[in-house]
Amino acid sequence: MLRIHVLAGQALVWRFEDAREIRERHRLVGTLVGALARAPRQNVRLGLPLQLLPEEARLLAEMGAAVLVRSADAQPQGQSAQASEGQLYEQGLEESYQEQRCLAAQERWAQLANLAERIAQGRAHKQEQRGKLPDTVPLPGPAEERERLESAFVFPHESMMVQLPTAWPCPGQEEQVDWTQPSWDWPHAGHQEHETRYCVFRDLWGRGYYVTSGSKFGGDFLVYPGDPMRFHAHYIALCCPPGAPLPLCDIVAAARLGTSVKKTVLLCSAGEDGVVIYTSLQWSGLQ
Amino acid sequence: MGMLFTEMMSMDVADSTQVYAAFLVYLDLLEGRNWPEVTCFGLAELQLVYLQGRERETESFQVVVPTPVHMSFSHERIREIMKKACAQLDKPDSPLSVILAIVESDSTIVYYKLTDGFIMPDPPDDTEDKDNKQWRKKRKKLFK
Repeated sequence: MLRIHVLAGQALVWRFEDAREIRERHRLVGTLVGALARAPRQNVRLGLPLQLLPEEARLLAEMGAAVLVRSADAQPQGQSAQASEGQLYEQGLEESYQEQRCLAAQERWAQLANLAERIAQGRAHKQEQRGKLPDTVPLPGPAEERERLESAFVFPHESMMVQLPTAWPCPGQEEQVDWTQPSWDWPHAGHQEHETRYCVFRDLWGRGYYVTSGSKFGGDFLVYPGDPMRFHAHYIALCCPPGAPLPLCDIVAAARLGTSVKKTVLLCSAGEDGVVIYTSLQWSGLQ
Repeated sequence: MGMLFTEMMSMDVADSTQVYAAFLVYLDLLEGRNWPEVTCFGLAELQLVYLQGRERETESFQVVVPTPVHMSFSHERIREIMKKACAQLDKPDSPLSVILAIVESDSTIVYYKLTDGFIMPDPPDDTEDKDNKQWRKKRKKLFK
């Protein structure tokens, strides 16, 4: 049974096996919204969790393939337990810092040792230039040098490497959410707009299309003939409540956008009988 | 021309702004785009005047629905117009299709086609379509 975690109206899938099954078995795409541990400061490639549209989550729940769950309020341990967890973490960080500083100093020492000859040559050259006699005072021995280096070595906290744990921390208690009733974590149930969108979404999905969010093109959904990784979208779906007025400016804007991105705009309305009606909007071709 | 306008008005089917829009579209199709044949019809129950015509002698007839830009349509109303106007065309096998002619206050007309069902967009023409410079840049990046 697939688990979908809901939080303030967002549906998230954390397990990669679930995410894979959702795409491969159920033909639902979602969006990856998590930062990747090794490439954090970009969003060209993102990782888990997979965020599902409310329509996608509802479809899975309706089919009986998934349950919606939420983390129960995590307070039973009390403030003190949280504080000690924090302390433990800080301690761990400090230990890691000391270890890293040691290692960095060692590496620096090794580097200097490698270049020792060149450094000595450079020193001698400089002294010659200044016209001084070559050094009669013996240079400090290697052991002393090393000690000096290690005590004077600067290793700022900002240079430290910090591990970002990628495993989903055990959430403790989880409770099931009833998707048919509106709640804080799943407010969509019963909303007219959601119902309209869901009707259209389910119909399009039922016809074998892959359906994703259409907000990049000013629409409700993008409709693909196959997996979005392999195909361009054919349609931009706009959900219209059947009786609601459509300003002509909006129709022109949508049609014009569709023409310039080579997609057909689909006006979609769900009738009372649940049958969805589609009207394709295209440029007429008249110059 | 003036006679046609009075004719349209006398049909007493729609308000004057819609009739004026229909008149402008009529002129644009016939004189501006040289359509060989354009006739006008009235749809009393939907209160509008629409046109039927064809772009060339060889083509089949199409329905053109003129509308001033401020007029409001719902998806339902559009469907009704499509059904009733196309019934006149007597082409039961082809999908419902009309051309919506939107007339601005400065007499600019834009034409958009509305068809029942899913009409696939035209496929892009491979690499000829892409701006050459962009395409070269992309290739460079891919094969880096």
